[in-house]
Amino acid sequence: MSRRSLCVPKLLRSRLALGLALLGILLTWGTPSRAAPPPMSRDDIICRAASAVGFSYHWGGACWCANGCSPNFNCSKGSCSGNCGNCTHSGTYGADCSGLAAHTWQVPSAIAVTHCDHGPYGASAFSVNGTYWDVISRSALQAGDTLACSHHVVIFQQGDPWGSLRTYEARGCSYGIVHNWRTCTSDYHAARRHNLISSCECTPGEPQTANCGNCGTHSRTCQSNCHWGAWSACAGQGECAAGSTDSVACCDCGHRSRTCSSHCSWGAFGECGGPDPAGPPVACDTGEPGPCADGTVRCIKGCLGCAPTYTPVPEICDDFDNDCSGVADDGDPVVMGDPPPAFAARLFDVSVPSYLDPGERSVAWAGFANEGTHSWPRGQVLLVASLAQDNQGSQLYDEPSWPAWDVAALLDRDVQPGESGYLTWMVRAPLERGEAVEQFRLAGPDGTPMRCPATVVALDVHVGGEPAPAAAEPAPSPSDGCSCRLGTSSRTSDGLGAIGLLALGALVRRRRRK
Amino acid sequence: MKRAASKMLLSGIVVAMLGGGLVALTHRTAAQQPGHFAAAPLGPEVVLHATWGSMGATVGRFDGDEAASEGPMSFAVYPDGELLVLDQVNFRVVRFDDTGALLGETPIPANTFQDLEIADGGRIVLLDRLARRSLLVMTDAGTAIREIGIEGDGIPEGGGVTAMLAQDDGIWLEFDHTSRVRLLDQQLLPSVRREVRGRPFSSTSNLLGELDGQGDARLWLEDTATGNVLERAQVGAGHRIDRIIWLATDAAGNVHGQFHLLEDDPTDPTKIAFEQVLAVRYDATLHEVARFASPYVIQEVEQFREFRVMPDGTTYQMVFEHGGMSILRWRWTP
Repeated sequence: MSRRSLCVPKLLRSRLALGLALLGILLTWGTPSRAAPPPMSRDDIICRAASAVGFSYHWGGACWCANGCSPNFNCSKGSCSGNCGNCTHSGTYGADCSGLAAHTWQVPSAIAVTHCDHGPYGASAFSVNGTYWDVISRSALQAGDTLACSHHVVIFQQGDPWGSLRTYEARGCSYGIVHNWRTCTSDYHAARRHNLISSCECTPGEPQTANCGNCGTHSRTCQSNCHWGAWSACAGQGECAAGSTDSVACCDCGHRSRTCSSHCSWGAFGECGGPDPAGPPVACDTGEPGPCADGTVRCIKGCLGCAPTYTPVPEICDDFDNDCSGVADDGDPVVMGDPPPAFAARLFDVSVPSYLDPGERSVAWAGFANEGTHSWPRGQVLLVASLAQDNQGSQLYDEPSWPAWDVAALLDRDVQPGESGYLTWMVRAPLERGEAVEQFRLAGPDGTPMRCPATVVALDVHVGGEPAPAAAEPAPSPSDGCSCRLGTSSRTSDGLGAIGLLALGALVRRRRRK
Repeated sequence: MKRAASKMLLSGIVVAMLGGGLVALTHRTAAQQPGHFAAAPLGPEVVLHATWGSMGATVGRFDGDEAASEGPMSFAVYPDGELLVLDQVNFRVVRFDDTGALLGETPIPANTFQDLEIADGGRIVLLDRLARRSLLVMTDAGTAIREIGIEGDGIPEGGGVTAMLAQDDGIWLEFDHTSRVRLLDQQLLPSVRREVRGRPFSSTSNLLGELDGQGDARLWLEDTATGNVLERAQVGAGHRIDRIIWLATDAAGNVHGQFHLLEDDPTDPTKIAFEQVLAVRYDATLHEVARFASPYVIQEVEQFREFRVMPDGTTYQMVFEHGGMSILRWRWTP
């Protein structure tokens, strides 16, 4: 027969319990806060109670083996016979009602269910306020509370639809520890343990990892009370907080900034930017050609600089350097500006030779429309051979007919804006065979070349065959805009004359532009 | 021990009756005012009083010491008024006549049986919910006929059995006050388990009840096939209903309910401000017909079956007091 030290007559035990309670009061006298057993959730309490079901009733006993919330019968459940307190028990494990309650609640202190020390409490202790619990209204019962009378205590799990109570109890020697739907009379008083915490947050031993700080991680582990332990230190952090920004001043004005990436590392600094100097704009020279030279002092990439006030655009025919190349109307722009330039010409008809024998002369002519705002005075508008070099003349220079070594022709009548004029001139093939090229550009009264929209007649003459004998100048015939050359050459005499004529006919290029 | 069956008062018993109703009841409609009930209870009559003891006409009580205390866990009534008391503390069933005279006793093999029923042929069926977790069928002479386990389909846990019900088609066990499962057929042979909601009302409907969470209770009749609610009743008692003790239907289709009223003293949870047992009788449409109060409530000495309603509506209550156990009876008029 196994008995605990409190196995004494009931009255004496009650007095002993009272004495212990008074001792507890004395020991805690003056303590500012009430005593607290280890934190437990209601689920913790029910789990502990459920793990005892099936073990024997052991008067004075208070231990069992658990496997989580289930009993572990690898330990002997023990057995009881007789009527306690005149009963016998065999085996190590088993509990009486107060031992079950105290071990389930872990009062007065944390204790393993396998630890068989019964502790100081009898059932009646749970029916009144204690150091570690308070009596509550029965109508406030919740899972894990107890119901106790002078001789018995049960652990309440929940009510059923009729108000009966599902309880865990070490019911008696014949029953053992049971999960029982029962009634508790009004002699049973409800009590609630101190230091209840919320229910299980996690499964004991379960690890958890989470992000922290600047892309770092920390971890924690679920403790045996089903609540998370403390987080570990935050490890593996980056240099900055994702999404944050950093900025530094630039040389004269403004600042530049950088952004922290999602991996918590800084990106590259962006370009400097900032406000322009306060006050009225200050003019400056950008050093750029044409209208782009005009500028104002502004904040450029963090430094004060001269920023152009004009934005270049593609060149058009308007006597203005639209593209800031340094030359107005360069590049032969064909789009007319508004207003157009003073002098502008559009080549609309031309007749030039393509094949000449060495030394052979030929007539060429071209028609230009005056698209400028000024009239072309007779004799003051020139056709300049733009490839003539340093007083040596053009490859197609015809000394007798050209007014100057680089001037092929002069306009022979006045041409008003909107009218057209023709220029006719002679070209002479060089004595050497090969290609002879020249560009004839119209120039205004002051000799300045007209630049647009189409002011150039380009010749590319193939010079071949025998040098031609001196011959009378062919009369120009600009009436139909074409040029025909009926040349005589030695090719005819050597039997190739007919073929040469046919070839010459094919090589004469007629160009006509409207 | 023998007492006159019609004796109205016992030591320590005060039963306050007022024309079939109680002055303490406050939740009544006009039609339910005292004197307007269609039936009136007659009682209580003390049909049996047995002192605590271990033999003869006494019954056993076990005073727990760090354990549950128990008196006779259950009782049953024969049609002729004879009584069976489950005196499990003394490993027996005791039989008394309708005057309370001892007729005999039947030994039982354990002290953990908690309910009994009288079956055809006088056989006794005993229920052990917690230790053996079985039904034991035995003759009135104590010969065991068969014993079957109760846990299985519909009864996952023996401790969850809340009643044993003897019906015309066999023995049923109720689980969680919600459903019932037939375990023995009419011949008390193991039956294919059939689960039905509630308690029996008719061949096509069942009786269910629950606390409403607001201090009252509600009852309803539910169609067995469809689950549709056929009739409803709200039970108000003027005090908090702590527990539905018992629900039963008599042969005439009247529904009988007993309710435990219990209120804590709001200033001291260790004290009780009000406690009483209320019995209400309804007709077949769940309209209240009558009610009475019993001053007896269950004590520290535990019992499993407190009430029993006979086919004619006669209601029995088994109560404990310091001197012993009594069985009270209420009959109805008309």
